[in-house]
Amino acid sequence: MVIKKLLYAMLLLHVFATTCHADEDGGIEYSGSGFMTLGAGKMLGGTQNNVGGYNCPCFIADYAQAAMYDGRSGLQFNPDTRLGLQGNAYFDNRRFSIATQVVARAASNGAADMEWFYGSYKLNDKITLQAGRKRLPMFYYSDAQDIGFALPWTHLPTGLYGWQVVNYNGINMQYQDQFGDWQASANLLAGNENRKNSGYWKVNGNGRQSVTNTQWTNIIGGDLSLVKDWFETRLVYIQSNTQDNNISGAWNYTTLTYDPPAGSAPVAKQQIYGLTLRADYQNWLLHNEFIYINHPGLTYSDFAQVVSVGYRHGKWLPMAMWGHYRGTVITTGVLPGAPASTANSQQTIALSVRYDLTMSSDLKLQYDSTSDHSGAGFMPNYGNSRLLTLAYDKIF
Amino acid sequence: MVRFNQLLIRPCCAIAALLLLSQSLHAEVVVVTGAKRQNLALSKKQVCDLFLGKVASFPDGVNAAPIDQPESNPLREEFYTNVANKSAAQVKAGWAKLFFTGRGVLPREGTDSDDIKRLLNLIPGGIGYIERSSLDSSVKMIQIVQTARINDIKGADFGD
Repeated sequence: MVIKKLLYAMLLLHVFATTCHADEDGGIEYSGSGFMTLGAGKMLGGTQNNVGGYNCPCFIADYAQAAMYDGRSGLQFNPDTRLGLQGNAYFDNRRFSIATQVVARAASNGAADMEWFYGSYKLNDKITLQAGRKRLPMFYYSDAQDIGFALPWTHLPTGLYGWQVVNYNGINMQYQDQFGDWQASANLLAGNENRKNSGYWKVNGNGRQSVTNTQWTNIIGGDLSLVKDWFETRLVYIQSNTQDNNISGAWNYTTLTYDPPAGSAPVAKQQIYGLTLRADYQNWLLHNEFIYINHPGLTYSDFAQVVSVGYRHGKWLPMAMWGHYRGTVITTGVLPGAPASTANSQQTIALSVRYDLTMSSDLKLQYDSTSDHSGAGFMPNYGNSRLLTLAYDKIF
Repeated sequence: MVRFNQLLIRPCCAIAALLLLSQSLHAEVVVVTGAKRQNLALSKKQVCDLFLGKVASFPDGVNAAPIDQPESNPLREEFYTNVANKSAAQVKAGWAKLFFTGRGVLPREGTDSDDIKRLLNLIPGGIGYIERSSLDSSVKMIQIVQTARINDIKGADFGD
């Protein structure tokens, strides 16, 4: 039903796309644009189990949205299908602008979320000030995570990109400059985020029917990108306070029922360090990304990485990707049932191919194989999965 | 009875005719600004950076407003292949990352070369690309400076 609604919406938007353009009215310029992904996936196999109310084998396509391919037979359309609309208004010869972006996801039963809503003021050629609701730029593809056409994969490597919070409300300052042959862009940000009914906690511990709110407060940080010809590197540091509040119960992995709400976890600090190394040399594309997150108050840490290589051949871009996530528990008992030093660990191998249908659309096919190396006591232990996905992306 | 060499010659002639046709369809692209703009000399890299959103202003400090040909015009594919060594689809994917994330404003798009020439004289800092055959007094051609970096890029006969 949700897919039907989204398909109708996409059909309407194709019509909208043909009439969508920039208009000027009294010096104010308006534009409408959008993007969509129609995704279909087939679970090929894996560990059969019931985990957190999910019928596995299971593959998490997007942690923040609880987008999960599960063990049902046949094609599954919900996890990777989405539709986004963006409106922009430009003032003063594009020096000041307002942008809003709404995304509807089949994974959220078609509900539309406002992902971006911000004002942007270009102070000069190098500095732009922005305020409002934006993506939290933890990763290289964070900003573009919903825009399938901008990605080489049908879904982002979830071991790396899966997190509780992907947005924030606040302010940021962008700086762009050239130093010799190096192009530099830096971004400083500050803000807060209150994520209600977190998708992350549904698929990562508390269960499908659970409701957990997550707060990231006092977020401050920044990122720096340096580009020279075919080489690009990106550094990121973000810190914040975090707090999770379980509202309607958490899945009990022993009784396979929901326990009474666990209430609020203590406020804890986190420090996020990220590094991207990227090369786009002639026909070769290499994308390597790492993240380390330290949680001093919670005595555990996360490390994830992605190593991928692709080779462009005309309109084709085949890629191979290896990704790994490891959450290390430093003190026994911090995560329920987890033995010390062996906690949450998964590895994913993906083979994908992208074909550019037109200048604004593509078709992608991807095979994912995930293996779960978590400690025996760690939950949720989804086990292994093998998934085939096909995606059609379009921007307009 | 058709001889073997006739069987061979006819398709060869057809292929040669197609090759000539495709060559005649291969229009020379020139980069242009409005007629009132001062004379400019840019390298291919500088033109590329402006159209890829990597740089927002000309070397003389004027804010740049790149104007694309429509997607349906093969000139667009040829321009990006020559100036950026990328397909127009790759360029658009890069722009999608910038535009939908607040890091850049999409280039304006003209409906054809005549429309682009009109826009170049309306929009301060406008820069576009058209067929050499469309050049007239309403626009000024940008001199593409030859440098070692430019020679590294395929198709160095771009607009000069």
